[in-house]
This record gives sequence, C-alpha cells and structure tokens, in this order.
Amino acid sequence: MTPIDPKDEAKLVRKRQRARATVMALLLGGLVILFFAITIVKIRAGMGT
Amino acid sequence: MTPAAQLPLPADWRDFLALTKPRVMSLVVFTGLCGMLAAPRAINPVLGFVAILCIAVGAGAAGALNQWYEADLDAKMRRTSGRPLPAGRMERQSALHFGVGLAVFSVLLMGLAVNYAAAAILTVSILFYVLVYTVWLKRRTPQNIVIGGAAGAFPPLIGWAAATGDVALLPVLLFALIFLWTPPHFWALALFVKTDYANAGVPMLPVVAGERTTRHQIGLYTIPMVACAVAPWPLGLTGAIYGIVAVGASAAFALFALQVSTRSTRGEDAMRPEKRLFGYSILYLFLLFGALVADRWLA
Repeated sequence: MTPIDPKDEAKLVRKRQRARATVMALLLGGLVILFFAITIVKIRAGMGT
Repeated sequence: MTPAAQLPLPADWRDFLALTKPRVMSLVVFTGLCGMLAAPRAINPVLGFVAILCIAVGAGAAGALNQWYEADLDAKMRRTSGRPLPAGRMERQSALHFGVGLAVFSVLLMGLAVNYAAAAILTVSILFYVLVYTVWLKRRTPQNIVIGGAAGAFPPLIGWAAATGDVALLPVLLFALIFLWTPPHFWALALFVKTDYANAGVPMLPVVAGERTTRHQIGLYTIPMVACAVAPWPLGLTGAIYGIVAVGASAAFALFALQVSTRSTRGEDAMRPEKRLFGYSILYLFLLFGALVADRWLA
C-alpha cells in the first residue's frame, strides 16, 4: 500500500470531519423539527402531560 | 492544537450509513409500514412517521451490531469483505457505539412518542437479531436462519402495535408468513453462494447437510408459508383484493420452489432456478404486503 503524504492525509481528515459535522448538523436540525411536531401532536391530542 | 495529520483517519459518514444495511432496511420499513396501514385504527401521520423512523433506525442498529460482531466472518466472504469493518475503514468500537446508540434512541423515541407496546416489540426484535441470531445461532447451527428469521418478521407487528397499541391475529399471521418465508429465501441464496459460506465456516444448511436436503427443506417450508399467506382471506381478516393476489403470487412461489426442490446441480450449472426463486421471493413479499394495504384502503 502506498503511504499517504502527511499534507494529503491532513486534508482528508479535515474533509471527513467537515462532512461528518455537516451530516450531524442536518440530523440534529431534523430531530429538532421532529420533536417540535411530536410535541404539537401530543398537546393537541390532550396527552401532553 | 494537534496537527490533523497525527489524528486517526475518521470514518466517512457513508460508512456509518453502510453499517445500517440500507437495502435490508427498505424491506423492513415496507413491511412495517404495511402493518401500520393495514391496522383498523388510523395513526396520526406525524406519529406514524416517527414509528416508521424508529423501525428503520432499530433495524439499522441491529445491522450495525451484526457487522460489529461478525467483522471477522465478513472478511472471509467475497460478498461482505468490502464492508467498512473488514475493509479497515472503521474502528470496531465506533461500530459498537453507533449500533448501541441507534438502538437506545429508536426504542426510547418509540416508547415516548408512539406507545410502549410498539417499543417493547422493537426492543425484542433488536435483541433477537443481535443476541439470538448473530451471537448465538449463526455460527452454531444450520437452523440459524430458521429461528433467526423471526427477527425480520417483527416489523408488521411493530407497525400494527404502533397504530393500535396491541396485537391481533392478522399481524401474527404476517409475522408467521415472514418467519416461514425466510428459510426458502435464504436457502435459495445459500445454494448459489455456498462456497462463500463454506470458506467462512458458517454452518448454512447446504454446507452442513448438503444440497439435496436444502432443496427438500425449501419445498417443505413453502407449504406452511403459502398457507399463512392465503389464510387471512378465508379467515375473513382481509378482502378479495388481498385474497386473489395472495393465491396467485403464492402459486407462482410454490412453482418456483418446486422447481428448485426437485432438481439437482449438474456441472457448470448457472443455478438459474435458485436465483429466480431468490429474486421472486423478495417481489413476493412486496406483492403480498402491497395487496394487504390496497385491500384495506380500497375495499
């Protein structure tokens, strides 16, 4: 296996960290919307407590 | 600050997605959704979405934990050697944490947002797949997929329980249908990837008991499976739409299974009947569950 140049590896690490952070942000944003919707449904159904 | 080059290479997010076995998940989500839509009580669309999300995430968790436990086995099989763990693209501990995290999240969300009956069945299905099938049975007995097949049979029960809060005869029959469908489905696959399983030391039926016994067993399991598929109609649990589709699709399944169970491999055999049965078995479930929903909403 060809060793990766340290500069290229650093770039790859940063790229993957950014991609993972973006995916996590999207997932968390989606969960916020989902939990808000669940709360509204529960309140409307009279099961909020 | 630590230079980035000295950090371990983080796994790509696509590898985490691959851990969840998205293709298997699609069938699980479909049968769970159909179980929910076939229930006599309608569920709020938001809660219905949450229930399906939980079923999908729970199935993904089970898939991730399966790959965590079977990394050594996957490395020995051509079909699975490219997965994130055997290919060395991810640390095993990451897969374990990911799987446990998803499992806990899916069960908690199902319990708190939908109902505890659905959450309890989801918990049993995840534990059954990971502990009973993956850890206990898979490497020990050729009956691994017979009993382990129950894990994949839970989604319609979960979907039904999410909508109604309880379990009735129809979802139990759907459970039995998938449970009895699993052996012919997987043994048809095992017949044409036999060498892969043999190399990995997995005691699949064709490896342990031979091809002839496997073919015989495919035929035997098809009989009760067809009975479970058709039963909801004469029992009055479904209407004619489901009944006609079930009879037609099951007759085709029985024909393909008969072809597989009565033949033997010769020389450079392309295993066409086995591949046809395997492919059709997937379509068969889609047809039956699709017809079930159509019957409930159109009749």
